[in-house]
Amino acid sequence: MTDEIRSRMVELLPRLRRFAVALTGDLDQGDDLVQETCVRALSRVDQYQPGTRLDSWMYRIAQNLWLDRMRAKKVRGVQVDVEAAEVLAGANGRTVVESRLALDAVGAAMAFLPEEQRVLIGLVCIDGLSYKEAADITGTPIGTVMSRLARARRELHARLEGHPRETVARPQAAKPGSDA
Amino acid sequence: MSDTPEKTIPADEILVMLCADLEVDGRLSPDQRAALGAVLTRNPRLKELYGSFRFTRDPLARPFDVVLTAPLPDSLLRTVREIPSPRMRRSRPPRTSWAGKSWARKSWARKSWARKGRASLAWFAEVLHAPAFSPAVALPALAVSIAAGWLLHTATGAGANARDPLASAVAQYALEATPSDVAVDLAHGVRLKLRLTFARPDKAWCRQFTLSYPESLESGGVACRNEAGVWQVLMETGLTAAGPAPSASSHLPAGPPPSESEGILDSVRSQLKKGDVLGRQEEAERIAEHWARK
Repeated sequence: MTDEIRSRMVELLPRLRRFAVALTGDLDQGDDLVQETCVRALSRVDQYQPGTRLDSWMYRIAQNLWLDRMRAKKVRGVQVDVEAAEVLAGANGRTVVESRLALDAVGAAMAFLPEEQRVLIGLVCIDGLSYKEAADITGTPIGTVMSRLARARRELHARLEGHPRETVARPQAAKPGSDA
Repeated sequence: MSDTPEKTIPADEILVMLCADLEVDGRLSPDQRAALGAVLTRNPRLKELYGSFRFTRDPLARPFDVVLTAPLPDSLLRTVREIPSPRMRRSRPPRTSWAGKSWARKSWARKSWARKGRASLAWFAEVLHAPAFSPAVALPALAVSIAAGWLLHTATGAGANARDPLASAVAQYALEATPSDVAVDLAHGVRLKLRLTFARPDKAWCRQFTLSYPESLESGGVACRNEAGVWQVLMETGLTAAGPAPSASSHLPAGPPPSESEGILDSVRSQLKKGDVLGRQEEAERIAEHWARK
């Protein structure tokens, strides 16, 4: 049983790693989170219900570990990588994204999001899970998932595409010439 | 950044977001796409939103694709393939007969997870008993002990409720009204015995206890009374073989040697308490006065 789960965990690692990088904004920190997630999962493998989705279970563990880590960081007063944020401010989001050099920029933009929204962006926008699946993993009502996501996506778009945040945070009349 | 109330997101925006995702996933029919296009043409605000939602699917996700194809670190693979895992649980707690007795149910779960907790507690014990033991070491160690206690409770599978006051009504009553060295049956052979009573620097009353099980196993813990009069478990050790019956004087050199868990708890208590352990008479007075502060 455990061998089968280990085998499925190995298959899941690339996706879990991508999710972890989306949360942490950094490959090394993402790998640390994946490592910690696997250790936690294997130490509690008898809590895994056979027949249920392993990816959801492990995403939930990763999410909880990361949220704990972020809470600890907040206690220490570290929330946003200022240097990365400054780099982001001068970047043209679309160009950077299209040149595939945007991982840091996207990570820095995501660092501005509340943790709950970042988790949802990682699950839905990056991993492609459904709203229902994201709701199950985060233990959040689906309506809350959707509204948080809507807010997060507007925020990310504003930061990466350079729209004034006020316009996005409180949509008014459309801007003339908008190419969105 | 605060999370503003979700209800401020208008329904049409949610609908546009849904459509954006459905289109990215190729799940909109040609007719639906045409209808959507017509709506967006009529409403520039929604069109802008639609663009932002589309942006946060493929363009946002694309940079992360490199992670999918990157070689996996060997250390990660070794972790998954080689780290030992506990045996699968063979049975579940008898829910029917224990229904409503949360303390007893958690005690059952604690047995299953005791070995895990013991590792962290063993480390903690080493810290406490190290020759270089000092207050500077003690405070982080104490924080670890409390974390270890919470980890144990979390490991019981009780979920978020584990952070609530742990004791059942029976255990609450025992903590509130039972003198030290008197054992109280909780459920299914699990007995709670108060060992001693002391005060923290913040004047909260705390009681050190031992939980004993029918299989000659025991665990120890410290519970403190909060301002609402609820006894909350501050820390709890993993299960160990029951040692000789401890007494209130076991922390003194002349007393019987404490068990592993009692030794840990004695060390923790020495860091927690202010003043002396209460004598029998004073403890009886505190109980009679419902723990009113002097």
